[in-house]
Amino acid sequence: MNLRRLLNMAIPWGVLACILLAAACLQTPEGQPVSVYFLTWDNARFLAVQAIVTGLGALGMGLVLLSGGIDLSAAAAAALSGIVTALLFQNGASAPAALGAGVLTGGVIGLLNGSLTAMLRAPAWILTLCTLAAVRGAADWLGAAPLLLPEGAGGLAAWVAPLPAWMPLAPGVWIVLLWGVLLGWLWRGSVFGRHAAAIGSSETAARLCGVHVCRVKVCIYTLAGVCFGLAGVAQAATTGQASPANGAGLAVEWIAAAIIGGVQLGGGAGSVWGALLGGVVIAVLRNACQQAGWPVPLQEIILGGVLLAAVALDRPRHATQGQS
Amino acid sequence: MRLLAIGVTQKSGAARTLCGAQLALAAGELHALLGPDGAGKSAFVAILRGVQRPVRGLMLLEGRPYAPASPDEARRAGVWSAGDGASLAGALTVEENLSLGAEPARRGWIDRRSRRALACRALTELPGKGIPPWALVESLSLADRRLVEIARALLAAPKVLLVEDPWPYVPEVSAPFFAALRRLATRGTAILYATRSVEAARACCTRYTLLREGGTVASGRMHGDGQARGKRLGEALPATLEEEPLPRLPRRMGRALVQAGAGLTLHEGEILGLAGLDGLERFPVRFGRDPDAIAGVLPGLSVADNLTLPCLRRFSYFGLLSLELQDTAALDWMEKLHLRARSPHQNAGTLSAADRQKILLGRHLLGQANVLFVEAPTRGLAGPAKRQIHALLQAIAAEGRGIVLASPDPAELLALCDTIALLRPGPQPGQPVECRPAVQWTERELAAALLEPAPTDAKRSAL
Repeated sequence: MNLRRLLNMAIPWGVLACILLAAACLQTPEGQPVSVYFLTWDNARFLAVQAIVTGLGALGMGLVLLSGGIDLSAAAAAALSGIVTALLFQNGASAPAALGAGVLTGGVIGLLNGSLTAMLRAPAWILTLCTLAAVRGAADWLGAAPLLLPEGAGGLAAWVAPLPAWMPLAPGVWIVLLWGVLLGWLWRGSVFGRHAAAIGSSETAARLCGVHVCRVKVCIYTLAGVCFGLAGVAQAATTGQASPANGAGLAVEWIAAAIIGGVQLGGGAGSVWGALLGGVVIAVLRNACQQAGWPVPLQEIILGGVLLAAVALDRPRHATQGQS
Repeated sequence: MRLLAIGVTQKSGAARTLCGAQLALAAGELHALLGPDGAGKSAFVAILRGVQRPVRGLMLLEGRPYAPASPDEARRAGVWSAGDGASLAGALTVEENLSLGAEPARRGWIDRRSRRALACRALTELPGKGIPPWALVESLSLADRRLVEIARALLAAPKVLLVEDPWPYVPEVSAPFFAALRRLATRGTAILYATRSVEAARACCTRYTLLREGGTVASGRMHGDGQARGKRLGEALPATLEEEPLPRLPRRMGRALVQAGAGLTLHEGEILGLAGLDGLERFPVRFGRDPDAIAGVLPGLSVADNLTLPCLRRFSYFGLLSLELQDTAALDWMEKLHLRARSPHQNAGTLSAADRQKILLGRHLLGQANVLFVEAPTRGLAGPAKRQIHALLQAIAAEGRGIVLASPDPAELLALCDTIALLRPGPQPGQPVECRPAVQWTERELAAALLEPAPTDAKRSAL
């Protein structure tokens, strides 16, 4: 059993090692080894910034998956959050108000998802599919015209840029790490976290143990929504613009990140920190692909393959746990 | 020899369930696999039918090595199993079940007429009252379902049929079943009949193998010269294998805790037994308020989390858990429950069935629930593990809590309960037919009601 646990923890690191190895072997279109660009301090700092969005999304998706649910509307929620922020900036709102409204948007969508799953008791994937449609519609509507963030956007760009040189990691990266530590601690060390884990392991059993399943679910989805809202705002800040297309493909990326990080499909086993680590792995993968000069569609295909591999590994990884 | 097994050894966790068990099964014989609870009968049968693989041991089927990796493989090799109706699809009719997997068909379309003919041929061979081929299997009594399984075997005449009979022996009920087995044996099928009742084995089998603590201690003929062979192996066949019942803890019944809809009352310190086929799910007894039920173990969560989940707040300050307090309490209870876990942080999903059951009971000893629903708490357990669970249930009741115990095992109900209510399916499910103090029930009465529950079976008469 300890071997299995070791294997479980080793998988994200193993994937990371594979990517680095591949980067050392591959060549850029200019004929140089990818590692010349890839394994540099500047790229590491740039990568950390890229990992902000993936990490935040993986944290939120990890929370939902760990408690036995899934949120398919995550990427659309992130896109809408970014659009709300950009709209408010364009209309001259102050930075705290614009950012707060963006994050709040994510939280409200999460609250809606949580309330729906708690009240209707239908499978989460179908309910969040409904919200996905609605949220995407709203994003298309609000973001019909291209929304560029104003120059500087209240200093927002500086938070997610790998500048200045004396700072090892951008401020945004620190915020994500702090948020991850907080959520992980909440998961492992609070009554709320243990109740959520119990729901992920067996909802009926948790209900019969006196866990307020509905309340905990609403909180989990809301918390995840806040993560997605943060991810959306961060993405708008990094790209300097917000559009409905921002969310494309992100949900797959986040689910893959959480599962690579050791979150069991269907909930129960895994940790929030693992999900964050999975997010970093995905960001490294993206970055390596970019350095190798591979086009975005190819990256999407590779990502799908990675998710498939992670799902295939899910059963052997957690085999001893579902025997009851 | 049709089936030969030598030196079969099996482990469950650290404990050995089988240790050099052996068996010789001839074609066309009815062979009893005898042994008290926990002797390893089920483990042996599980290996023979491919559910488990032995750690060591040689098995030969008609002289060729036989090591099934799955029940499917065993079935393809000609080793079938029957006994509790579990191999039937409840939502299908008897005739559909009889031809399942070998449907008479023409170009993919089922030939209904020959299917009906096939079913009728098998069913008329069964003794006693006829089972209609169009009846839904789930509407049949357990005794009839067992017969349908034998009818299916009659159609195919497998090489070996493994029959597990966990129920107490009731001559009137078992007679048609034994007659059907005998008829199957005349077709050349070797039948292994696993039971703990020597009486039942005497009634139907010609030879026996006696297991004790995982090893074969005797084998021979049921009547005549076999006694001598049995003695040579070390032990003659005893008259009974029943164990001494657990001594009862003194309990005091207090005030009434809940009034059940069907005229049942549960008192403080009382264990109320529900005898019936599948326990509470099929017989929804309505209690006045939501009682705390024993839920499943949460796999993936630690032993400590599993034990303390209903009362986590006791181990936390302002919503933040104190892992130290939680671990201390868990360690304390692990010792009290004789839990075989390495640490409170071990994943509860990796524990043995007995230990998981102990966690469920321990969870509620720790908590403050004063009414517990317990359903088949020793299903699949035997020997010391079973006795530990029984002692735990008694301890819970002795604390003044009330327990509703649904169990398919009449012996268990009689050993533990103060009052036993017999529930029967029928027009109004959940209506207890009779409710009497436990001392006024006999094991045979309960077993007979279990196997032949329905004199007025609504579903069947409607068909």
